[in-house]
Amino acid sequence: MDLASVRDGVAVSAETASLLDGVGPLDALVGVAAAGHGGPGLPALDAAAAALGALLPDRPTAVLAVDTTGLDGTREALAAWRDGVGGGPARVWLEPATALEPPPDLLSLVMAGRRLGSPACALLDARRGKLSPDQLMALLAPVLAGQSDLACPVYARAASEGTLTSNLLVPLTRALYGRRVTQLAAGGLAVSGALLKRCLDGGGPDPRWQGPGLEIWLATEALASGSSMVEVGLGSRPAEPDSAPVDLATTLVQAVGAVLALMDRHATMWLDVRETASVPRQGLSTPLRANLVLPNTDRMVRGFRLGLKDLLPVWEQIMPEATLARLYPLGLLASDEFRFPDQLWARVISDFAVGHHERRLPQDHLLRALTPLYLGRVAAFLVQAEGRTAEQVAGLIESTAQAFEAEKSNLVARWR
Amino acid sequence: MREEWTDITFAAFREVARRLAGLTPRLLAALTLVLAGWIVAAIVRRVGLRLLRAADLDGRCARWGISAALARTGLRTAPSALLAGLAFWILFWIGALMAIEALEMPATAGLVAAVLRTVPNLLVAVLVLGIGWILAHFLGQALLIFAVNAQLVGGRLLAAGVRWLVIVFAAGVALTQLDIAREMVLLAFGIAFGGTVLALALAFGLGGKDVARQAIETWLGPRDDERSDRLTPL
Repeated sequence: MDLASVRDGVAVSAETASLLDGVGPLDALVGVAAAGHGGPGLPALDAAAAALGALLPDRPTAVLAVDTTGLDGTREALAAWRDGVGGGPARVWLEPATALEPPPDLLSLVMAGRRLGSPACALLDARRGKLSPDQLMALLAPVLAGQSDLACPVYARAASEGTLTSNLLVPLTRALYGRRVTQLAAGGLAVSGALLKRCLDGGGPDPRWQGPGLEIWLATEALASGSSMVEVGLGSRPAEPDSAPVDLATTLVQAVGAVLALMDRHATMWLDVRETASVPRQGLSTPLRANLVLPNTDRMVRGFRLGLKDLLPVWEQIMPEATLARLYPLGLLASDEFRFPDQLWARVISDFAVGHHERRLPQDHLLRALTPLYLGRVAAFLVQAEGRTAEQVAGLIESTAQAFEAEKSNLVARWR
Repeated sequence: MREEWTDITFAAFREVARRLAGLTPRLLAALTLVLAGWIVAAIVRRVGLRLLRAADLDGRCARWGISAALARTGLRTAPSALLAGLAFWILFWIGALMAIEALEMPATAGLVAAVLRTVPNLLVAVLVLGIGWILAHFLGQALLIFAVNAQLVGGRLLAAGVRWLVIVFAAGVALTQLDIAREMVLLAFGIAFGGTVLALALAFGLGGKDVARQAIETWLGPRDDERSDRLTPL
C-alpha cells in the first residue's frame, strides 16, 4: 500500500507520511475517527492515549486520528493535539494532503493500521460516543493477549436503542453465519493485525461502506473466515455526542447495504450453515433495560402507511405478491395496536436480500425503499415492548432472531 | 384480319416474355439479397447473443438498473437478446432495401438513398429517447423514495411530474434531431416546459403550500414533537 495514498482518493500530507514512516513496529494502536471542531473527537483521543499508556506503559504504541468532517476548527484542534508535548503513545493525525481532499474515514485507519503492522488495533468512531480508558482497555485486552482476533463491544441498552441492530443486523447475521452475536456496529471494535491483513487481502471493502458498514465488514469477515471472536461487556453505552443525526435511510444504506453485499461475497459459506453457536462473552454484564418512556410511534406508523400507499410500485419489484398481500392489512392497524409479525419481517428482509442479490433495482434505491418497512417494524416492536419487563423484551428480540433462522431455508432455496 | 390478329397476339406474347426475361434476373437477385440478408442477420444474431452473454451484459444491465427500467416499460426480454434482435432486424432491412434497389422499379427510385440519409438521425433519436426514458424512471423513482422517506405527502405526483418532464425533454430533443417541424417543436417544447414549470411552481406555492412547509421543515430539522420519536438505530 502506498503511504502517500492511505486511502484511495485521500492523499495524506508529506508531514503525515513522514510521521507514519517514523512510527516503528508497534505493539498496539488505537485509531479514532474524530468529528467536527474537535469537540467529540479530542476527549476520545485522550482516552485512547490513557488506555494504551495503562495497558502497555513501556511498549511502542500509537494513537491515529482522522477528521471525518473537514469542518473548520477541527484541523487546527487535531494539529495542536498531534504537536502536543508529553510521553505516551505516538500521535499521528492522518492529515489530507490538501484541504480539497475528501475527509478520510474509518477505512483510512484500517489501511494505516495494516501498514504499520500492529498486532492489535482498536478502531473507534468518536461520532458515536466516547469510550472511557477502562472500556477501551477491556476491549483491546483479549486481542492484545492473543485470545481473539476480534473483540466487539456489548453495551447495556434500553429497548428503544439499537433497534436496527436488534431487529435486523443481529438476527440476519446470526441466521446467516451461525454465530449468536449480541450487537454489531456499536461504534468501535478491536481487531488483530492478522485479521486486518486477511480482510484487506480478501477483496477489501466497498467504497460505499462508510461508518457502520466498515465495522460490519470487519465483523462479517471474521465470522465468515471462522476467526476467533469475543464479545466484551462494557457497561453503559457511551453518551452520543451532540452531533447532527445521520439520516435514517443513509444509515440503512451504510449498514444493511454492507450486510447484503457481504452475503454475495460469502454465499458459499453461509448457504451451508445450519446451526448457530454462542459467542464467548467477557467483561461487565450488560442487561437490557426496559424503557420508562418509549418513543412516540405515531410518526413511524405514518411513515409505514405512506410507504404502503406510495412505494408499492417500487416494492412490487422487490417483494412477491404473497409478501405484499400480508403487508396490506397492517396499513389498517391503529398506531397503539400496530403489529408487524416476526415471520413477516424476516420474509421481507429475505425478499430484499434476494432482490439485492439479483440487482432488481439500483442498490441505493432498494436499500432506501426499506426505510418505511423498518419504521413499521420498529413501531410494532416498541408497541409490543411497552409495559414489559427487560426479560420479556429480551424474549421479543430472541423470537425475532429465531424467525430469521426459520426463514433461512426459504432464503437459501431462492438464492440458489 | 387473321394475320393481323396473329401478329398482335404474338407481339404481345413476345413483349411480355421479353419483359419477364428482363425482370426475372432482377427478381432472382432481389430474392437472393433478401435471403442473404436474412442468413447474415441470423448468424450475427446468434454470434452476437453468445458474445454479449459471455460479456455478462445481462448481469451488468441488472446491476446498473437498466433491466429494471426496461421491465417497467414492458420489455421483459433480456438486454442481450434485445440487442441481438435489433442487430438482426437492422441487417435484414438492409438486405431488403438492397433487394428493392435491385428491382429498379420507378416507384422505389431514390427510396434507399432517402432511407439511408435518415438512418443516422433516426438512430440518434432512438438513443436519446431510450436514455431519456431510463433516466426519467431512475430520477422519478429516486424522488419518490426520497419523498416517502421524508414523509412528504404527494410524492407520487412529484415523481410523475419529474418523470414526464424528462420524457418530454427527451422527445423534444429526438424530434429536433429528426428535423421534424423543428421550429414548431422548439416553440411547443418551450411553451410546454415553461408552462409545466410555472404550473408546478404555482401548485407547490399555492395549492401545495402545506407540502412546501412540510418539506422545508423536514430539511431544516425535526420539529419538537418529532424529537421524542428520534431513533437510535445502531
